[in-house]
Amino acid sequence: METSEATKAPTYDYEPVAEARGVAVHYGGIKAVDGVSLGLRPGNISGILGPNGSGKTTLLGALTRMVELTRGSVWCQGQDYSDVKSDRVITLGISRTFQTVRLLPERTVWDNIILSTDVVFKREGDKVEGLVKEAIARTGLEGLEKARPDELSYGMQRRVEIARAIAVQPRLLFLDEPTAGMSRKERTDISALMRNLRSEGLTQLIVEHDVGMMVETCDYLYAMNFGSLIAEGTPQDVVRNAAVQEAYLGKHGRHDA
Amino acid sequence: MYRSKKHRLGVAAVGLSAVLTLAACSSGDSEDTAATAEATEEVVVEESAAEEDTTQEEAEAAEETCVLPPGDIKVVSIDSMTGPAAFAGILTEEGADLALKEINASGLLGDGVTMSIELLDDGTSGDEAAAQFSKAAKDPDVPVIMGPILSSAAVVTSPIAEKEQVPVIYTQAGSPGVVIGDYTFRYTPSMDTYWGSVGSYIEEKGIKTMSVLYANDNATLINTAENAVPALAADLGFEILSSTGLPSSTQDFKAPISKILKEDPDAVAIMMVGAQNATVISQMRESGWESPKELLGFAGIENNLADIGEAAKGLTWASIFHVDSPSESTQKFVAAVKAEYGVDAANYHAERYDATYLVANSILAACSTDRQAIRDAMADLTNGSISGALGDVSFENQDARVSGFVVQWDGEKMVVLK
Amino acid sequence: MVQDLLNATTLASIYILFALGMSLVWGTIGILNFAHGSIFMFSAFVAYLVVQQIPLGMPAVVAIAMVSGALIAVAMQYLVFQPIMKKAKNPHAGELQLVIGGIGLSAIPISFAQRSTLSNPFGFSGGSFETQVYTIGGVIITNVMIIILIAGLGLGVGTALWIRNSKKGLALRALGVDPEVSAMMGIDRPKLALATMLYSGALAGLAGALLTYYFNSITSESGDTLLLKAFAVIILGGVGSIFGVILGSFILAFAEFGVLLYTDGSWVTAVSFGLLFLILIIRPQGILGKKEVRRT
Repeated sequence: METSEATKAPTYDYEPVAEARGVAVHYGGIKAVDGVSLGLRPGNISGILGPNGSGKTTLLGALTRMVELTRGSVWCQGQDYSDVKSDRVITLGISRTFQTVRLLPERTVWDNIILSTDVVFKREGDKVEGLVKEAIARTGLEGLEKARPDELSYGMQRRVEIARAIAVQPRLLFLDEPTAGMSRKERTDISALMRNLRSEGLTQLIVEHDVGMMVETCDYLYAMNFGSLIAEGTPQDVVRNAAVQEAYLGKHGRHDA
Repeated sequence: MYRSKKHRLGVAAVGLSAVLTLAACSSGDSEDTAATAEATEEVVVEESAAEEDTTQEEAEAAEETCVLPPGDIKVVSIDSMTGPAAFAGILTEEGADLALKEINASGLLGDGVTMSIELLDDGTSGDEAAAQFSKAAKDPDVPVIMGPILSSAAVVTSPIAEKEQVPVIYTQAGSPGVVIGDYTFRYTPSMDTYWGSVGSYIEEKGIKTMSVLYANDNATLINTAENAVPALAADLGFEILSSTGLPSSTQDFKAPISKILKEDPDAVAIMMVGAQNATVISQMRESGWESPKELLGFAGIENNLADIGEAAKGLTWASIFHVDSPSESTQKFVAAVKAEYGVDAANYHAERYDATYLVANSILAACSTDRQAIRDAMADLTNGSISGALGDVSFENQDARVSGFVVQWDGEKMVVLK
Repeated sequence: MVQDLLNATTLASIYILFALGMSLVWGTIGILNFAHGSIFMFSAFVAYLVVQQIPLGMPAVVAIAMVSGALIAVAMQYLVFQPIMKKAKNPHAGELQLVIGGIGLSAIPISFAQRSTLSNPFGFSGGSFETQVYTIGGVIITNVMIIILIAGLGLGVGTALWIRNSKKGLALRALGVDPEVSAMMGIDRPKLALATMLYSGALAGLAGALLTYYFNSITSESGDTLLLKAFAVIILGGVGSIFGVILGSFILAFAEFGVLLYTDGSWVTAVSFGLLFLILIIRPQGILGKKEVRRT
């Protein structure tokens, strides 16, 4: 990994929960992410908007150490965690969901949620069950503890993923297309859930290409295309940005999936 | 059994005085000596003048004295020094080394003429052996090749030998399709030709029914089980109740044993590979297979019995080599192996020891390192009977034949029954 | 008939003992360990070398083999598999390199034992253990069979229940299904991998010692034969399923036993591998296996 001038600490008028400094992820000749810097506002729901292939999910991978950085660094609470292995990221208070449902199919909802909680709180074993119950309550999954994921609707499966991610009491939650493939009702419910979590003080970063949902849910928006940030600001500002409109309407059309 | 022509080979023992006194032309063996004296193409290796009748031989030999140009005659040996067949390959090459040492020490090939072996390890791979053989056969400087011991390799290398017209002498390589023409020779009698020597034991025990268990992916064992056993059955009038071929990867034999127990034969003939033999026999015993029920084996099975010892007691088979063989030439060889390696001689030692002498004597008889001349001399020498480490060996179409003798496992080792 | 069922069940228990560790490693930390057979063989070989010097009884021989197996497996994981995983660009490239690494590794102990034994069979005849034969109602059973049945069925069911019901078992299962997500859950893969390899190696050692007692002698290549059978067992039952190992072992053992009992034996390989192909065609995930979880 090279360091570059972009790695120099930028200044924010707030203390970011997590930061990307000049992050680049290249696969051979493909520049999936190419020099992105951002600092997440505490207590906010931030969103990254961008068409498919714009590099949003890869950036999330970089921030959760699932993909190798080609350049740049990632920071959390003033600490450079670029060399931290992905299985230690959760101990930094960073938790995430995935673009597709990735649950243990043959295990119960309870088992799926307790998995990470048990690992993170193994020294305080008596807390674990309480945390799982709490996460189940916050995501409205009561009564489904013994169900297996394939017995649940898609929307419910996504809730299990969110429950699994928040049961470990993270400081920061990454959500990768949390409402993709959902019905309108399910989207509204998930959006409400995220705002509830914000009111409880949880910082969140959502990656999406559904503009409407993002405008409705997020406090702050970034827009990406071709691996770079093309705009950032309030949702209204970003949506009106010419470059963003070009990226969405000019080339790909709206809501491409 | 003896042919009119009798070649005395493999008796050079200069430098091994203990062996010398056992030399096959000692006065006690008058029949042998007479036959030797009559032979016209006599090849005499004996350098000792200690005994009076050797002078006559020396005189005859002198008439045919051949002078080879001084130097080293290098023959190629392809053998399995590593891999699963290494247990045989290593002993085989020890036999060759012992013979070479004697040949060179005795000056058998003449003043300043030595013989050496370029050893190529095929790693118990038929493909590797075939590739090495092909290369050696195409090298005109290689006068003769000692072939691979693997049957699977030999059936491939023999056609190459015939095509390239290079004489090859095999030991082991006991399957059909190995001795196929003018250039291929084999010094190990194939098992199917002597397995039936156990017949005297079968008759003595009054065995009327037999079941056979054999490895169905081992050419030698297949040939013995499918040809030699039925031939003996027809000859002696016993019935084969079943003949079960199993892959040599089989590890548990409870199922075939269960089947055989239901057939209730008088004897079971076992012809499996390596550790399988120990497993079959111990599982037979655990299933209650005891005397007067009989177990028959095959030559070489003694190498697999160490771990079951007592359980294999009474296992009987026909062998072609035993350290207690009454043959004088065998006893001389056994003593030489003991002196050189400190171990009891094995059949692998004996076969290659004799084969190495055959190569040296063929070169001497041909008085040339020309492939064709060596082949002709070898064909001529194997036209009769040769006495050596294996005792008296005759040849049928360049393929060795011996009459086996009955041996039995006594719980610790194999002993000669007759 | 009872005798045949008992013998076939013993064979199934042997397959369970051998395949259990291999399946666990494959289904959880994603290493298809082609060196499992040589760990099995070499553990028995180490015990054989010791027994040649000191006439030990079965418990000591089994303990030596298990410790040897565990040590070899951990060494392999530490020195070879872990570095391969670390360097692999992506999980799929890593899998292939692990297989090749395992094949290469397996040659080392095999060559060593071949050279040392001159490829002759070896066993524990130098030890003090004696096989006892009991006849109960006309059915013959040996003390070795009893131990194999208890160890095979006990460890098989025990391990399956442990994976199903314990937190560590849950973590291992998660690793097997989705290593990326497991990492995000904070599961320490290298540590679990080492522990799994240790357990798998000890199981291989146990299998090596017990099978050598059962068959009376084995050869340097015996592990390779069992490796193929274990492969069939795991595919039959389903990769990642420990109950699948038990089921697969019973199917293979009873199929082989039946074929040997009612035919002349030449069909045994064809039938067992025919079963394997049949499963691969009609139910590629194995009888108890789960469909491949979609990964992005």
